[in-house]
Amino acid sequence: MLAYNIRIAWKSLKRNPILSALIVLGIALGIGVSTTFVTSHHVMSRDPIPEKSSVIYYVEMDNWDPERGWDDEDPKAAPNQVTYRDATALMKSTVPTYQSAMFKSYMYVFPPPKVGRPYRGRVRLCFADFFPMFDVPFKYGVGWDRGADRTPDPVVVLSHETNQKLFGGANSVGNSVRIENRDFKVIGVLEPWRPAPKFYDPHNGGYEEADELLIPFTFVRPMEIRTGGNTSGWKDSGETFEDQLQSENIWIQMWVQLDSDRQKQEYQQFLDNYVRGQQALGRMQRPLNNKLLPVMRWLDEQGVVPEEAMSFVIISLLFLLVCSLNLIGILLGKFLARAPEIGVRRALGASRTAIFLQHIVECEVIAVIGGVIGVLLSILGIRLISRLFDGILVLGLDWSMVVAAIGLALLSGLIAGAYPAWRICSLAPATYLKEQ
Amino acid sequence: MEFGPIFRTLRRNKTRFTLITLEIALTLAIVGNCVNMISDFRNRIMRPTGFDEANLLAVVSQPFSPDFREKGYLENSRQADLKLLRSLPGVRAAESIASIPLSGSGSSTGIKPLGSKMDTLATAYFECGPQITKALGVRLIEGRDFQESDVTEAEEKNVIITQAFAKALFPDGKAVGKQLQGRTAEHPSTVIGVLERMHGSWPGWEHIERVVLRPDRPGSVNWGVRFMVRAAPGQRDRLIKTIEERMIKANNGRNVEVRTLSDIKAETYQAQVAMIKMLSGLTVLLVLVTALGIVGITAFSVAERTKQIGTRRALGARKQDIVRYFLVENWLISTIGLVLGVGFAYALNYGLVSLVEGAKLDPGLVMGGVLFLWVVSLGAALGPVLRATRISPASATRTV
Repeated sequence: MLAYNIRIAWKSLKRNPILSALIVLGIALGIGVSTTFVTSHHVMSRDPIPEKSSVIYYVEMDNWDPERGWDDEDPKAAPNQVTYRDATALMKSTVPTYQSAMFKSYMYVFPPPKVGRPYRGRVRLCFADFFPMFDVPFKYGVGWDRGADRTPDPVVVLSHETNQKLFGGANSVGNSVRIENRDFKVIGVLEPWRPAPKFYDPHNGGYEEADELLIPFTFVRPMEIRTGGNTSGWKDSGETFEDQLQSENIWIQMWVQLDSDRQKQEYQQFLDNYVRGQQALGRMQRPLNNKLLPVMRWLDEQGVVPEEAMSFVIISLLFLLVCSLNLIGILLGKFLARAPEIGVRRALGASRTAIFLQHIVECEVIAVIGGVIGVLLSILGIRLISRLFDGILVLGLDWSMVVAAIGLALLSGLIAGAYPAWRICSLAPATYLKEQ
Repeated sequence: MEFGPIFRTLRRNKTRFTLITLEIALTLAIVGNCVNMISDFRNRIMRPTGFDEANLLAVVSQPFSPDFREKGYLENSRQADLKLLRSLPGVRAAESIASIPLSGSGSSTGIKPLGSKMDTLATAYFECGPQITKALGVRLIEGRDFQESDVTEAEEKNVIITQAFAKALFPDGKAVGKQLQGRTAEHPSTVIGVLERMHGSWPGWEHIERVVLRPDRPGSVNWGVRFMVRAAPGQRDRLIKTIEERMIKANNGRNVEVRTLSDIKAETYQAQVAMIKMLSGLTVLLVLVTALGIVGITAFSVAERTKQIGTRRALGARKQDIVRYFLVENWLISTIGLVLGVGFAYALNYGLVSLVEGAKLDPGLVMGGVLFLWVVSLGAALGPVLRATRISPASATRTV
């Protein structure tokens, strides 16, 4: 029966190919446009590290001006990074499973003259725990160990792209890379890794490119490395590098992994005690406001997903609605034009259900074809958007969205087709027979 | 006019006409809001920046040679670069500046009138050499320009601020000659001049026109030294290569990057430009879909009424009467749809503005949308309607 209905539907579509093409194109456009923007929003707002996001936390504390809070509009907000002195003090905790203070800097990398001129590389300074805490995938070698943090050992982990650039993609573990005035030994090379959004440091746009080289945080002092990210301050920060380190300027991100509620409570306790200690010393004169933010809350607070993305989702769904209204109108006309033919079928004994099914199947055939073309259009659409936002956004269609698109198409076919199909099956056959 | 029969037809085909009315209404709502957003983004990109935008180059000198760490070396190199830049034919002015305006990166601080009880106001600030106004092409409207003697080691600086910031700081009174402080009253600075307009570092920021210029010798080993170069008309693009080559030749211990300010601005506004393109695409597609819908619906109502048309023709109606009938019908439907659509447009705008900070719907724009869709709707109906005139009176007799 279904096969028969599909055959009739196919015949009916072929009878007026131009009209059918327009109907299919209409629904395909609706599906294509809405899938494109729903996918964009979905990709931008998804969990960048789903396997770890329930156990890793971003640490915030309030070291701001006692007379004026961090955010004039939100008195509960705490500064969104920490100072160097607080970061180094927090790193002494023994509670977290993993913990790392980190920041981004730009440092000169000196390739061998044959490879290229010196260039400024995007360097992340972090602790050994960075790699296991964020499940960073290695292609060659490994990350450094906690011992290397203490010394500090001149070791470097290269991104896949940097390894391509400096060593042509070969296993470069054991080679050396000159960064500023020191030689660093390559200890590991990453697989292509670009978390989007760049959740651990979204301060310069959530979709910034990945870090190119990673070296131990503890080189900050010996190499006088300044941050290449955002710095905020409220108090005079002095002139010398050491003054900067001791200042109230915030420029460091602090992440911890806490696997159980107990561990979390213990760490919260540790934080509160630390801040109370600082308060006793005359720092941090604002009320206690220590936060352990889960990944998604942190990204939400930083407003990583551009607000406009939601506008586009709304507009594109309305677009789909217009396409569906369009479809209903056209199907209604198309079906009713066929009333005499249906009159004959009904007179020859076809039941209402059979007629209804016949037309619903026809709608679904249209919807499926439209949906498939719609998915193709949305692949095109997403390519287009990625190109428009080159370097700001990373997008890709995933399978769940393909399924959702086809589902959406079937649903709109059903909704758009139900009324016209009902109208045609409830016509009295006699009227149309008379006219023949 | 045949309003009577038209109304009766509409009533008998309620669903179909409701559908097309809703479709037109939604189309107006979406198109109106898309175009509104487009013009909002466009206005932001096109607003005057205060610079001589078309002729500016930004030059970044990023040292890597250890020589630059020696005391005085960086400053000497900065002086030499300035001399070199100013000597190049085609260069009208050149000056160093701590960060490039409109680039999305720079410094901000909080400032208020000396001794004032108010909260400090956030502003962008640029440390820069004394010839900066000439190098940027910004216009001084009050007070005086910087002189070489304004560049001092003292913490108390003579500063130039923008008109927008002057108005924010001193709502009722002149800014020139007044003193400014940061969080504390230490090291106050003095306003010596006011600029008509200058954009700061972050185009997304609502206070982009708040800028303070502080005379200094900007540059550091970590961040390099930046220059703004103002070319004579038509010379800008030619100078890019020349500057790069000459500066590297003068000192090879660094990288030199030269870009036009237009490029930097385009990159900063990339997201807005992208959104304009997306919204334009959506608008075109939507109008197309709706027009096709109207073509389809009209074609069906013509086909369905073949016999009536034939009968009317047989009874003496002229071709133009048939055309008029269908066009009036179409006009009536689209008018109802558009009236409804104006309401929808405002509702959608309300929803979108509460979601994203955006511009309120411009009534002129909505009216434009109404007129446009009227024409589109009539145009879409025209094809099928003209086909209706080709129905011969004889067809009325054949099928009965």
